[in-house]
Amino acid sequence: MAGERSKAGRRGPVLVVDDDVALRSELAEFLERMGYTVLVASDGNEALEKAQAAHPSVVVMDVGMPQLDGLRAAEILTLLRHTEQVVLMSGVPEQIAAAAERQGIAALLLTKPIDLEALLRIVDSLTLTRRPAAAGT
Amino acid sequence: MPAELTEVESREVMAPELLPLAADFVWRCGADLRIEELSPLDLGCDEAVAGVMRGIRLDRLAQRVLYPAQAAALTRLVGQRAPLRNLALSCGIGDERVLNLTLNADVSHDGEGRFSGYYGVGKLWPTDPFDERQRAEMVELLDRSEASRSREQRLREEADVLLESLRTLIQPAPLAEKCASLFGLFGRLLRFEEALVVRRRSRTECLAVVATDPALVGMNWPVGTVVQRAFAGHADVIADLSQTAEWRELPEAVRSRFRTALVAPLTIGNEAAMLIALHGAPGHFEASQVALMQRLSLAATQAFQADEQKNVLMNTAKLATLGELMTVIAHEISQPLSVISMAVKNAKLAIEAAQSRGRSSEDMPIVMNKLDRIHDQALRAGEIVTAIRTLAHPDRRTIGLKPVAVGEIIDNIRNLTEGSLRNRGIALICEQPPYCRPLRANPVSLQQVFLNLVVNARDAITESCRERSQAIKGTIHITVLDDGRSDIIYVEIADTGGGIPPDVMARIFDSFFTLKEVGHGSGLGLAICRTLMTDMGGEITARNNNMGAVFRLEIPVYRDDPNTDR
Ligand SMILES: Nc1ncnc2c1ncn2[C@@H]1O[C@H](COP(=O)(O)OP(=O)(O)O)[C@@H](O)[C@H]1O
Ligand SMILES: [Mg+2]
Repeated sequence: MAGERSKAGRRGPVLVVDDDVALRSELAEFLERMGYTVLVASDGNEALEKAQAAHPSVVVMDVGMPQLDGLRAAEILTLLRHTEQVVLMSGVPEQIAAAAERQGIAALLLTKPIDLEALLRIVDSLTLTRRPAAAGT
Repeated sequence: MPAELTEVESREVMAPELLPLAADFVWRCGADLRIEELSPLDLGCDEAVAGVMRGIRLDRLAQRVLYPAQAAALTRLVGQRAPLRNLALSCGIGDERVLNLTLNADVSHDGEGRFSGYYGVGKLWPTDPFDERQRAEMVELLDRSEASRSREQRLREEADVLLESLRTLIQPAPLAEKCASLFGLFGRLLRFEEALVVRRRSRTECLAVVATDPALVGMNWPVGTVVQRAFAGHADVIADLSQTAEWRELPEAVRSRFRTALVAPLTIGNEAAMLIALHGAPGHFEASQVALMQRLSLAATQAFQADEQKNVLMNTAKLATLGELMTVIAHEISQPLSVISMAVKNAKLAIEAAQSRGRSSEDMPIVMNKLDRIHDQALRAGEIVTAIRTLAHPDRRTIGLKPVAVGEIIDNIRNLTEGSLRNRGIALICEQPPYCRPLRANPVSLQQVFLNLVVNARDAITESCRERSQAIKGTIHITVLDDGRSDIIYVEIADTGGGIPPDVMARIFDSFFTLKEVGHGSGLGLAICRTLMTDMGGEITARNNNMGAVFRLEIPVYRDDPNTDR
């Protein structure tokens, strides 16, 4: 069933940013299985570099990261128009929502633990592709 | 102003050798070196700038020149009353504006052949003299002027250092390391002997938290004019430290080695702090270096900022409410849970894909791999829960204080850790006196404390060897000290893992403070050690020796009736 999605040709790219290597690689693998071209970065700085080079359609990014945190990175990515949309992931979304509002970032917020189905729906709709009904789980 | 122009022309200042470039203005000064006349030749010359220059004395102009080598050249030429040739100057004219100009002039003499001043032409350059178009013209000038050449050199060095410092800032490295590289880079230009960051501890106390010389870390810097001006946001050159009010209060280590300082304000979080560069020779630093010093302080501020962000969770040691604790737990545990659910999903997809292709064996390794990861992450979540339970357990204080033989605890630890230590080439050496009095402790808690310390020591040794790309090798020393008289027995656990970075020393016992990679350290080990030790009426402290970290436990001696204890 996953195969049907990928037959339609790769979509994206989607940039996955998290400092936790286990989470980053699982999430990247999942999106790849869902037919996306995926790039990864392990912190905000790397995310900026990769996004500048590749202009991903969506950036899915953790908030709490060393060096450059997700909020700041989202702000910069949006300002420089390196991507269409940033999706932030956090274990404490309420705090992040408040902070994002203060900084005027219109990022989408996902609560950790991540609901993969919800994430996929969001990424699908942001890349303006329709999910084949058969791929439902 | 045609009248002035004709006047100047009549003095023949337009002689061709004085015009290597189109001139913007003509100027003249008298024997007292005061610029009496400065007239724009075309509209390109800003009249306001001319206003600034008029009336200034040439030798005073030297004091405004931003680059010491050129200032020296100007002073020298003026002093010798020699012709000025293609002298390129950059000077500050207030409001942080910079005037870039090139001057040419011949010496003028009065009727009896006595020196009566200079006359010549000048050209103004846009604020950035290295605009590409003008650059070619400038280079020609610079080539001819020794003084100017050293200026360009300096600019280039500055640019290199700034670029390099940016690189340092985005490297993932501990704060102390970052500061060390920044200090190293800027030290090439600022030529200080030592530099330190001083941070406020309490209202009356300021401490050096980072320094180029480890001996200066932790030093107390007296709260006086130097600190106060810096905290108020001023950058200064302090030509002679011994003239300051706080000189007497400075530690001998500073007074014996340093006499002059370059100071810039710094921010750590929202807190004012001070960056100070020191040198032994009074007058060594120049006002022109202040700007660069401020660059350094900006870079250091960024390094601190990155560090604070990394440790947002570290302050949770002082968690005030359950709500705050919940935030941290939600944050810490949602991470492994996310990984688990994703790994399960991916494993499922892998199996499905394999089934649809009718070859399930190929994907087995992927699935097995996922299962391992799921297991690890579940353990990680479990560890966090256990740790929090230990910290929060209300009955912990009262249970099980009984006589404990330290030797038994150590034997247990040896059994528990020997395998994993030997595998890594780490030796565990225990020294205890032939007879040691029993401790008054909870054996399970005490064992947990020892275990945490040995595991940390093992990790430190592993990491320090890995950093130097050496095979892992090291020693953990457990020493029991019983003087047979006092109420306390000391146990020291020392390792060869390079020690604790001085700037985090104060925070290692805080909950969730860790320097380990994400997913490796929980930052709860030492917090638990401290809680358990205090509960048992003991104490735990940390310091570094020349090989690594030393943790010292103070554990009360067991007496038959605690009430008769002296
Ligand atoms: N023996 C040691 N040598 C060097 N650093 C140490 C040592 N023990 C602890 N530390 C530092 O203290 C930090 C906190 O330790 P701890 O509270 O046990 O949490 P964790 O081990 O999960 O990081 C460690 O991340 C490490 O940076
Ligand atoms: Mg630990």
